[in-house]
Amino acid sequence: MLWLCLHCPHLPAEALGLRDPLDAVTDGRGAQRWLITPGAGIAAGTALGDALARQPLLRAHARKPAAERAALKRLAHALYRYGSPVSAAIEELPEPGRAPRAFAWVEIGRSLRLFGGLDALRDAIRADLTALQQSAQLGIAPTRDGAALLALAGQTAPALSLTALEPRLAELPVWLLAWPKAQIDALNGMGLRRLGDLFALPRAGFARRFGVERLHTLDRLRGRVPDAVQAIVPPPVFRRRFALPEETVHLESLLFPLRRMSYELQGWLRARDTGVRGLVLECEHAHARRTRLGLRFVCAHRDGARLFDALRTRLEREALAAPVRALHLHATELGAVSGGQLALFDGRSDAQLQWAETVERLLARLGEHALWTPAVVEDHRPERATAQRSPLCGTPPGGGPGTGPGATAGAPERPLWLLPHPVALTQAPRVLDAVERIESGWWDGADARRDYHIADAPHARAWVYRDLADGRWYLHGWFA
Amino acid sequence: MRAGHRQSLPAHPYLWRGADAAPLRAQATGWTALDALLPGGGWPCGALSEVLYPQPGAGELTLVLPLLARLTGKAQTVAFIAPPFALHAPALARAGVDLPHTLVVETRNDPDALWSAEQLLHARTGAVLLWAQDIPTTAMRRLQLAAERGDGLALLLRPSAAAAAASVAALRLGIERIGGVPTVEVLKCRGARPVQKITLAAPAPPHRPAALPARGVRLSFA
Repeated sequence: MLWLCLHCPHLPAEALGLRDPLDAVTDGRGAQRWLITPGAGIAAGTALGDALARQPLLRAHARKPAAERAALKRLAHALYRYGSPVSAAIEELPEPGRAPRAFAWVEIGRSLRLFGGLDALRDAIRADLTALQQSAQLGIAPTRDGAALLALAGQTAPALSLTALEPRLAELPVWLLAWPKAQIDALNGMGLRRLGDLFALPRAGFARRFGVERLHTLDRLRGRVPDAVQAIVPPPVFRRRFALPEETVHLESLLFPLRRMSYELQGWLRARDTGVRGLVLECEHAHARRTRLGLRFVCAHRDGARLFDALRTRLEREALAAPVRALHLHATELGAVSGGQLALFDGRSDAQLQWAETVERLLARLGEHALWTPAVVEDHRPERATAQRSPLCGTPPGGGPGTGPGATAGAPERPLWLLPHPVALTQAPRVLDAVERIESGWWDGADARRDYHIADAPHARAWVYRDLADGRWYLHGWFA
Repeated sequence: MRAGHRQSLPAHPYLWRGADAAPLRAQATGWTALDALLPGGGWPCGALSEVLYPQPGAGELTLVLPLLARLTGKAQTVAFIAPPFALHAPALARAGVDLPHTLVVETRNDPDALWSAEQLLHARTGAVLLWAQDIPTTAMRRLQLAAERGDGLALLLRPSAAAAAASVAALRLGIERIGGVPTVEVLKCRGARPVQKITLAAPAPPHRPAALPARGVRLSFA
């Protein structure tokens, strides 16, 4: 087993979406409140009163443990693509005023080769963290607790085996352990300042003095007792809600949550090895009103940047009717990702991808029905002979009947332009050819009985017909 | 003496000779008589071309059909942006256009149409046909640059009234029906002087007989 641990020191602030240095998160017990994230240059652990005395502009926000758990879970889901099992925990320290420790672990021992070694894997995880806008410290060790301590101590060099881990742990100070402060002080008073000092103590005496539980902790650190992992598995559906810190009508302030949700969706899709084809973004307003924006992709994919781009274009087109309180993203339609993106030395799939992205951008800006690909329908009535298909990813094999050049070689001549509605003519036109009668549709209510001719107009050749029902002449198209 | 001058001239550093200029890359129009006239032998690649027509139906689509058939046959996409009427799929299929490789974009206004054309040209679309009424010079420059970047063909189709206005297009063709026959006039072409007053009737494109209209439409030059 080789565990990679991410320690998120700023999780309480990140979970609330706070990015200003003047914002700080506080935790309280009774009437007292302490800072648990650093703000405006004041360290975590300072009492709120002291902090306000030093920086009156400081904005204090109460901690939201539920939001922290949700944020950590999201991080765990993003890590799922790198290995399994994945677990996460928030350790609350016994004394109030000490920042909680949020950890997420992923077992990477079995996926090192897949990602091309430890360095490549670490780079990939760092890139993912940047995309998720999540700050974290890394630690790598054969035990979960050991990796967590290395991450806490800021030691990024990996410990690859238990024998390598123990001397590394022995160097760490005792106060890194999540034990009560009184106990840490007692240990320091006895001259036990490093973990190595604790390891060297006789086990029976240590257990009698500090409790069996503490001994177990030390054993788990060094991998001497098994560690029960509660694995986290991504849920089968993707549904995210992001509550904004305050109501807003500005698109710019929605971009941050949009980007974050896009990359979360990317992580979820990678973990489940699938792609998304349809999305629904809902903007929550006051009085439980909602704006629902549907979004469809030409082909299933899992590219966070592309998701973000499409969502942003869609929001730009849709003027927000009311201030937004929260955003809700739901992946409605999933599908297998076409293998094109894995092609090696092949520019073609790249061009196809670029093409699909462009079509999506057009769809997002112009509307879902503005883009179509014509197709031939076997119907004699000209106004029904053209079908509007949605533009597809790549080229459909075959393309349906009647689209090949051979299938239409003997077809009668048809105009390239068809008027949306036939225009009634005041007088009979000068016709150039023999009649072509089209009589069809008596079974579906759109009965057509017409005699078609090609007529000569001053600037163009026209396609006209005489309706046998009322005997009048109509202009139906141009031979452009 | 004269012969000596002639031999020494090409070596002179201040002398520029038109024949040595980089040849234009072009896509054949499919109309042999027109191809013979145009520099490079057709629609210039990676550039903006204009087709001016007095009214829809003058033959502007017939002129480009051989190109569309060839491009879609090579699995390159062709986009129609803001066409004035509905395209009739059976007619396109009859002319040899491979319909799955075509895309129609309907827009509400000219800025949307121009934006779509630019996006599609950037995405390396084979040819973009754009119908627009009033198009500012800056927008034409943008189209020209987009066509250069995507190395595609940008075809701007607009009414003949715009013929008098200045244009940055590499090629401008005017088409109208004279005596029932579509007649093409080269108004401007990059790399050669526009040819006037040439009357010849061209047979339909040789590579695909299906593109030949069944009756009386011949492409000719006046």
